[in-house]
Amino acid sequence: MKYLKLFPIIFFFILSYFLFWKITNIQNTKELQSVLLNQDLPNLKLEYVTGKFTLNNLLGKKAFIINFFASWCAPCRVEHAVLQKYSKDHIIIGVAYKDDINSVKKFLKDLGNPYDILMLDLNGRAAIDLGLYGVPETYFINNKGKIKYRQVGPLTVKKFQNIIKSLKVN
Amino acid sequence: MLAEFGFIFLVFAFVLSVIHLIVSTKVCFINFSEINFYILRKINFSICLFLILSFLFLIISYVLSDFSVLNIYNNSHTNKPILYKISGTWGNHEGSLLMWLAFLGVYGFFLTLFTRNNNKKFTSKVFFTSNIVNIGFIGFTIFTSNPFLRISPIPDEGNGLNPVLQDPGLAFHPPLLYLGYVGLTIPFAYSVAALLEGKIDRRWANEIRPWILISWIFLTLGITLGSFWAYYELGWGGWWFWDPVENVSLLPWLLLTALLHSNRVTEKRDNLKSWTILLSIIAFSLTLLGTFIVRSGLLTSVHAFASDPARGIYILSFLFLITAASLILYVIKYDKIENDEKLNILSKEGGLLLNNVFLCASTVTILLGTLWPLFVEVMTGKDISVGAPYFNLVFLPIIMPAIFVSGIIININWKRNTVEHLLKKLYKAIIILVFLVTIILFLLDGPIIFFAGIILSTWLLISIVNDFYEKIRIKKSISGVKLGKAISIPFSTYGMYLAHLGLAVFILGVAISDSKKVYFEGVMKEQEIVKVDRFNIQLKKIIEKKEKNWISETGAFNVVGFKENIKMFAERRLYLDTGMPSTEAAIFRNFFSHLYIVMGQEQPLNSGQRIVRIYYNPFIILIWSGAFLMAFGGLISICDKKRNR
Repeated sequence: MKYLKLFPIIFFFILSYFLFWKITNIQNTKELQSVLLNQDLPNLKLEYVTGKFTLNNLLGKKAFIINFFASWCAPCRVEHAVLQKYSKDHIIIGVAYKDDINSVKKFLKDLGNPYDILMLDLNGRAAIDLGLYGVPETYFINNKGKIKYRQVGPLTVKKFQNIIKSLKVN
Repeated sequence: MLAEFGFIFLVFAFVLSVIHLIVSTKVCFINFSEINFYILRKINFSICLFLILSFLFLIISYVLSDFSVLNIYNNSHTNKPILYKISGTWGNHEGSLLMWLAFLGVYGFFLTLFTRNNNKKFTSKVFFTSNIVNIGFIGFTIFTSNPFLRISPIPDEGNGLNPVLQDPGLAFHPPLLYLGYVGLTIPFAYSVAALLEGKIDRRWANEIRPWILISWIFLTLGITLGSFWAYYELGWGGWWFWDPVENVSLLPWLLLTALLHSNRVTEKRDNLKSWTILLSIIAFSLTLLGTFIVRSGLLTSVHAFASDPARGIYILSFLFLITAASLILYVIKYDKIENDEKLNILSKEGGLLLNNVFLCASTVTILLGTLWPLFVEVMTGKDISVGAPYFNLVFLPIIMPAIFVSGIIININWKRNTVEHLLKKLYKAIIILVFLVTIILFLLDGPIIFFAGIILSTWLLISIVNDFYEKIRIKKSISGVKLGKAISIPFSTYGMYLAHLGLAVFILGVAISDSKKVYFEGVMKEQEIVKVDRFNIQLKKIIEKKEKNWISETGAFNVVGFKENIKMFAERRLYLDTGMPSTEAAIFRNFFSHLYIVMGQEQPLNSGQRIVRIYYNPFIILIWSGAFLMAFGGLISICDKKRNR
């Protein structure tokens, strides 16, 4: 009976261990979820709006980034600055998801255009092929045309650097 | 500008809390001086003021639809009615956290106000603890969830609020629940202060009693309203789903109920002291755990509106530090506060202890069931979920004896009793119970759980009446009563009667509606008729309607079976901007019973058939009315001026 007073704290420590384990592992699983990882980029049905080259020009030759966004999505606005910052060093393809062309143009006029190619996914067909969670979502494709990384949710400068770093190591 | 002011107030509050921490550390542990104590009170009032102002400024920004604030842009829309503009403030993570802070402010204000004449040394320790909670939450808001962030360029229109949340139920469910959660901060602060002081007495228990009751009332109301909201808005036909987030609101409620009773023993008999302290610490931790689970998206649930692991880490660390520190303190000071006085089991305090054991055991089983998927995942990597069958199986057998025992406790005296004495007092009640139960058994038919529920609620009712009768009975007379005696019974006893009556009504509602409900689930065409219980329900036609931002289908149902034939309309809306469906159940109330119709999507497509679910829920209203009665009983208790009998 004397040691009964220790019971709550012991119970609590065990519980905390599980909670901490889970919370630190949530993030890891989130980043590796895509079944498409290391697979070829599926053939996407998209409408071209503007671009220096087409998707087929790039595929299998150069590494690039596909960014799904929408003018109606608030986190995309926040993320946009990050893309702007890296648009010089990377080829970024923007796919406007369920959006209309005029709003997209206004969006890019207001915030700047980081995209080398701009495409439209009006009915969300390409998004289904990729299994999109929602916008913003970003895919990193290597120069062999394989999907190497999938980012769900907005990119930050720190995240972007980490992803690029980890992709270079591999 | 408003948003900047709101944020500045928040920063002021944070800085003041840090100053408070320094001053209160000095006052509590180095040297006490009355001047510093008055400074602490002043700082307390200022923190409260800033927190409340900050929240008000966010509400005003919402009302003015200032979309330059990211949070408002994400959660509001100019076309919304004013009620939802205001309630949108706490319909999201950042805003609800600011509401939490504002409530900390409100409670802090009253705490400071009411402790004016209390023991200053002790009170400064209470301030010290509650201020640490303030720092944790203000820091959490400022560093991880600032609701006043701006965006640029300023959007013309906001994203709107989740349609499921656009409901009067949501407007009041979270504030009430939060008032309950936040209120627990004060019993917690008092307990830690008592541990630091190494002294706890009846006066202490008397001082925390109103705070426990207030939280208990708000928590009861909050959970009830949430359950009612889920019932008619989510369209699942039930009132409780053992969803993780529902569970984490029930856990502190159960412990708070236990605390309410154990504190009574401490107040009256100067006993169960360390137990009362432990309960208030754990009940408070459970509210933090609840916030953590909701805010981190740790367990999948209907409340996953706002989730982010980074925030989860912060809350979890805060939860860990504050609970571990208090529990370690508890271990150290345990021997100092506990007087090893033995309890006589055959007495009110013994009964209350027994009841506490039942309540805590049920809390542990629910906690285990809620977190079990997590344990399994950590150990084996498998994904499992624990559903209603587990909870019904383990929770009911533990809580039922608790309810039965409470009927006896109402009648038993403090201190020493003998079995003969108890039987003498209770034998009439037992005879009436046996008599009524026999009649019920003959007349009605149903599963065991139905009878168990009916027996329990009858028993509670009889024991309340019996106790009241014993109190107004003229001693040494066989059946004479003197109604004048009823006036001398304290208010808090009437509150207790009413709360337990509410419990009886609640159990009756659960027993009848759960075992006597009739439901139909299937597809229906236009003109088709189904029979549910005694009702013939025909889907007359489907009315389609198109608005600017939603399309809706409304099923018009003709119901034959009540005294008059009635029409019911079950609506299903699809919001075009988000693609989110929302259902509005058609509910027809007949006395205490509900006929409940939900119409779902077309299945298969273009067949003209709709998925329809029809429930007949007899006496279901008793569930929520019982819960409201319980809260009302608590309110009456709190109004008792002669608390210290």
